[in-house]
Amino acid sequence: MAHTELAEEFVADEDRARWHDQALWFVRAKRDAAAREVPEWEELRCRAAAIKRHAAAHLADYLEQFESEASARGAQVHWARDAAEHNRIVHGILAQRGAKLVAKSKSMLTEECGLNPYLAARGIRVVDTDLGERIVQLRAEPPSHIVLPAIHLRREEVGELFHRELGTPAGLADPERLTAAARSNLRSVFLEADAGITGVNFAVAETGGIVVCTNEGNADLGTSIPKLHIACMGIEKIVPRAADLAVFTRLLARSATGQAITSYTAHMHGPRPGAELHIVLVDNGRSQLLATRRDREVLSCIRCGACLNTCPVYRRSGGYSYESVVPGPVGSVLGAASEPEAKASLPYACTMCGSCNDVCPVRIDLRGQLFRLRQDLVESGLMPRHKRVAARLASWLMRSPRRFGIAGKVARWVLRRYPNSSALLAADWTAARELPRVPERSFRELYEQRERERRR
Amino acid sequence: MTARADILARLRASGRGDVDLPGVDGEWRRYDDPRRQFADAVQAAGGSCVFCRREELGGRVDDLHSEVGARRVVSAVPEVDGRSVRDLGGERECADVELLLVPGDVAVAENGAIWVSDGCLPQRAALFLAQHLGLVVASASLVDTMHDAYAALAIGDRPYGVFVAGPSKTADIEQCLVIGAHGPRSARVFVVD
Repeated sequence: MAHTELAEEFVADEDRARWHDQALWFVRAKRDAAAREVPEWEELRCRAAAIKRHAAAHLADYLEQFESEASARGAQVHWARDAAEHNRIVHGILAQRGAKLVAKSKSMLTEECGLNPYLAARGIRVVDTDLGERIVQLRAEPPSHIVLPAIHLRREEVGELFHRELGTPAGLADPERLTAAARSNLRSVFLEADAGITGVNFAVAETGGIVVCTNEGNADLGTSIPKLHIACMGIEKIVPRAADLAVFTRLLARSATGQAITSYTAHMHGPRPGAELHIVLVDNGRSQLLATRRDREVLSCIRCGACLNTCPVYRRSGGYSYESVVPGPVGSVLGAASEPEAKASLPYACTMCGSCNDVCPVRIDLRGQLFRLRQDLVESGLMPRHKRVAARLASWLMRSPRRFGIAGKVARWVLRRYPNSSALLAADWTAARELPRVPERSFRELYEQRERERRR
Repeated sequence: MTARADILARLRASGRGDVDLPGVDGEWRRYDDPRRQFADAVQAAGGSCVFCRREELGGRVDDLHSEVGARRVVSAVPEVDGRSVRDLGGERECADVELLLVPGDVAVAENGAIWVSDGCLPQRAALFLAQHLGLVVASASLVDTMHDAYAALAIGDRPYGVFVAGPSKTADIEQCLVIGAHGPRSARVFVVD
């Protein structure tokens, strides 16, 4: 389905849509304040962009270096070409050790690969331990935001859910008490889990270590009690040097939630004594994006969510309208670049305002990418017919000043006499707002008149 | 062909490109009063910060002890009395720890984070299972930014090291900040001269 169709239900509830918009704008405002605290913010963004682009261009070398350093520290490194191979590897490791209960922390990669349902179908219970992810897991929904998975839900809805699932008192909607309920419920999972699965924020080629950032401490708890830790990462998570982490840890949390740093920034080099650490490196289309120089840039993304929070379309249409693991501007680019046909509507879920470019900590030209993806859609004939016809007509009109003038006159005449006629052609645009009053004369006419008066 | 060979070959086929790796040095922020900045940052991260002399530390820890109402202190800091972390036993025993004291190697003024490694903490689970956390760091280890912190650390030397900034927290329900998610419910930093 197209983005506009998927967004219909969300925008139909005006109050909720407004609340969602404001909740995200609040996060965006916190990000702005945090960025302003750092005088060298722009320098950091430039460094981050250069480090990521360099790493992407030398990725094979850095992956080999990472593998050899990680192995030297006792981690076992696995490689997966695609989602299916990733799931098989993870299941294989768990099954071999008879693991039945897994404490999982947030990982967009495992969402992308559909790991949870894959393991569930094979009798392994996977519990998402990030509070937001736990909430959406209990509702059998995917996350609607990459950093704030349950941003689309109100506290009363969480209260009802916890009443049903965790036995909290009916009507309880206090975030503090709901969080406490989840905390005590998940403690037993942490203590009894046979394995912990985490994502990876950064992997350091130089040292063979992985870095995982959380506020809740769930990734650390989930990997410090069970004897088995599986870390799943896309191959683009590599940074060359330990020192590069300074650049990224300064940018990540400030961009994501406006914090100076997450509560925990854990660095894991090899397993804990007596335990195992497996690292699964996943391609799943990334090498293909890298092969096209134009699409390469999007792999610099560090999944901070800043472009989602600032996007006027995302804020007002919700994460589910993208039907994509990663929604928002960067999700539209990722989706349309990897599956142009299925995600043909996403490059249009954009006003071309460019706000995403301004907040992106790794300076991805999201607006430019979306614009170029639109051009691709036109060239490959994937643009919807009515848009194709309209664009051709507009192009014909605008190529001739005379035709353009006549069209303007006709439109002004029609709209003055029949103000509601615009609804026939542009119902979507005028569903919630009126067209402005049509002026008597066009800009060109006013200009010509002014010139005549001046000459006099 | 193995997945590894396959992925590496695909990556190499797309060529290296010509983006240079930037250097690590820069004109990074310097604070006029790093101690004050650090204390503010710890507070912003939901924790609290105390400056004291080495000989005062015991008394300050006692204050915290009674404030949080812990029955027993588990300590990984040599100067602080309490049950030693070395005697904690298995990971699951750490679940009963009420107040844990750990030493930090580096404190970062810009964000209030403190580097703690498993060198001093055989059961790293204790750092997250403890209800309350006290972090002890020498004032000489206070640096301005994360650049200085990474320059001072060798992150690959230990299996585990973590920057801790304040207590655990979450804002996953309607963006309301709740202190005490899965890890400690409070964190106090003792900066010792």
